[in-house]
Amino acid sequence: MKTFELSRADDPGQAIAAGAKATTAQQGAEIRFIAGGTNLVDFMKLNVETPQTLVDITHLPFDKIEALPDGGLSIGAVVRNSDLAYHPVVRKNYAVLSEALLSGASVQLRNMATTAGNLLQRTRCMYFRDTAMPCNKRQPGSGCAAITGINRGLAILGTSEHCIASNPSDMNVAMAALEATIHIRGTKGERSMPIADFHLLPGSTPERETVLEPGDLITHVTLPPPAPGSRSLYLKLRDRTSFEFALASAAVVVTVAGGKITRARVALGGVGTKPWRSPEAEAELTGQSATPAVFQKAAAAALRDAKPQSQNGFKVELAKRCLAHALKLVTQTA
Amino acid sequence: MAKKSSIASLARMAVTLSFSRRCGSFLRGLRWRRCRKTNSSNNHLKRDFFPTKPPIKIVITICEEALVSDQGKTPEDPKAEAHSGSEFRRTTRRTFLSRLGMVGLLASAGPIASTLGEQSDIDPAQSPDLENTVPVTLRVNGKKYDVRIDPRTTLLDCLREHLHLTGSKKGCDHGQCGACTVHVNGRRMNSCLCLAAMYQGDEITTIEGVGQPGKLHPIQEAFVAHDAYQCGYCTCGQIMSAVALLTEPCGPEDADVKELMSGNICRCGAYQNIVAAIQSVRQSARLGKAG
Ligand SMILES: Cc1cc2nc3c(=O)[nH]c(=O)nc-3n(C[C@H](O)[C@H](O)[C@H](O)COP(=O)(O)OP(=O)(O)OC[C@H]3O[C@@H](n4cnc5c(N)ncnc54)[C@H](O)[C@@H]3O)c2cc1C
Ligand code: SF4
Ligand code: FES
Ligand code: FES
Repeated sequence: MKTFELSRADDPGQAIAAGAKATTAQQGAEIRFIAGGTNLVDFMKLNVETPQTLVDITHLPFDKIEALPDGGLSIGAVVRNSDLAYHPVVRKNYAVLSEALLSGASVQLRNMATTAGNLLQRTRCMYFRDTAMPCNKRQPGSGCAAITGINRGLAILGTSEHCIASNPSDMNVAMAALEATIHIRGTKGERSMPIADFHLLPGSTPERETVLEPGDLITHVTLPPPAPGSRSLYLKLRDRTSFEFALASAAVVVTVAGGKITRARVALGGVGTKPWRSPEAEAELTGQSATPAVFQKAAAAALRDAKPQSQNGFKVELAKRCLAHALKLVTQTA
Repeated sequence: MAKKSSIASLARMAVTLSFSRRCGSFLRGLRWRRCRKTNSSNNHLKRDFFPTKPPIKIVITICEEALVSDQGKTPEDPKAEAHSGSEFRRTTRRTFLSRLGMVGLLASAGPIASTLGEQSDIDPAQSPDLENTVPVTLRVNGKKYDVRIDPRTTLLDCLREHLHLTGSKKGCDHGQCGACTVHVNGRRMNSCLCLAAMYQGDEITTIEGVGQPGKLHPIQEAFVAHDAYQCGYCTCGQIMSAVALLTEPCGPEDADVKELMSGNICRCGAYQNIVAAIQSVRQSARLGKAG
């Protein structure tokens, strides 16, 4: 691990001012906020992240989960994943989020991991983790070892010739289906955006993963009120039953009324370079009856643009079945 | 009784697993799910668990570490604190590494105490601070420890190398195995991913604070009674998780316990007995409540 200076921010302004001195908030950032540390410390031990300054933001007043006047929910940036997963309102109104969080990592890690840290967790691509290997995301221009190497766990949607890394987060997939809004405070004030606009596709700059600029501090995430009569569910498929990242996962939020699907939100995990919302699947579902044939059509639509790599072709079919099964389960007793 | 002591002596034979960087995927190959398979023969187990060429190097060393904690080095032992001063200066792999990094460290001395925005006017070269460390105060098992550590020191390394509380183990150092599990303010965490300096003011509990020989925690007693370990390397982490699990939202079934224990890998595959040990404590707690 490279040496660094560790400071503690007691108010958001301090953190933002400290972070703003960095030249980037993306790969190679010299200044990093540290929350749970479960992603950052891991990468610092591997010298993939080499910040010279760490700013401890766990004491900032962003540790609350609060109901919003419109019926939605505000989730602080440093709320721990386990607190969020077990929060009664989340369990009741946003089951998909609770299930996604509880399917991720281990109890120990969820007790440490935070909302913003989870949003920003980086790929598990093995070449990204290994500084001896070429990787455009870690070292722009060095090449992508995964495209010709071990890519079984990597993405089939949203890839580019420069990077095929999958976004590993489960929480992000649920947040995408719930149409969460990310709230950021930076040197120029506050701004917010839908989660769909927060993560970037790799394109020719895989080292840029989000819209964040130096000094940008995520303060909280908000969820809209639950759609009336909707049910939601997270289904995660992986190599073993627990403590493993998704090969394919599906977050679905569906409303069925009068035998027809009146509203559907669909996002996929484990297969995309970012949390993968599928408007194509949603269009296939809306207005249709909840039948296996419709689910399969929606799944086919979601994976229509899939581009399998040498080892992960199986993910196309796996993701389809995952989505179709999730839709079946969520509409079963509705 | 005879069984107990032979288990304890076995457990003293601590196995140091020297993991390669890629051990993560290997560790991940050891599955809780496979608990179910462990009732068949040992040969089956071997075939199932061990790849033909193990990608990890195993170094077996005999050392003084006991199953549940460091005997003779109770948290109350005043020597434990004194150690962090002089005696520990002898070159270990860690101090050697941190000496290598000294030039870089000089530039980063002292700031945890300072607030942001304030420029530190301490000239590091003039600083009386020794070895480019920062002062950190930790509360472990109800006791206050003042240490000076490199800011890079993880809570795990601080506990083991500075406070000499070596019950917490280092398996993977990347959050993948659970051997380093401790409680912070009553919640279990992977101490290998915690920077010690960030946990000042928190109440930290290690296996040494859970129970001691002669005064074991019910979970520790159940681990002995159910033979819930083989080499013992993962055991302190398993026990820390199991103790925490008792107060976590966990369903009644074995499958529920397995799910919440999945952050603790056991290379020996003692899973079935670990689940049995935990379930026995939960069962008696339920009976206790009912009666
Ligand atoms: C062994 C292992 C298994 C795992 N398995 C899973 C899994 O199955 N599913 C899953 O989804 N995840 C899994 N994870 C990942 C885990 O969920 C993430 O590591 C965790 O969510 C990161 O949160 P954190 O608070 O610890 O982030 P940190 O490590 O503290 O921070 C991560 C990044 O976010 C930045 N950051 C943090 N907070 C803010 C903020 N407020 N504003 C701006 N930037 C910020 C930091 O600067 C850093 O760059 C696993 C992790 C490990 C180690
Ligand atoms: S897939 Fe992306 S992260 Fe992995 S090696 Fe290629 S460029 Fe690096
Ligand atoms: S040492 Fe393996 S999880 Fe910490
Ligand atoms: S690793 Fe040997 S008993 Fe678990």
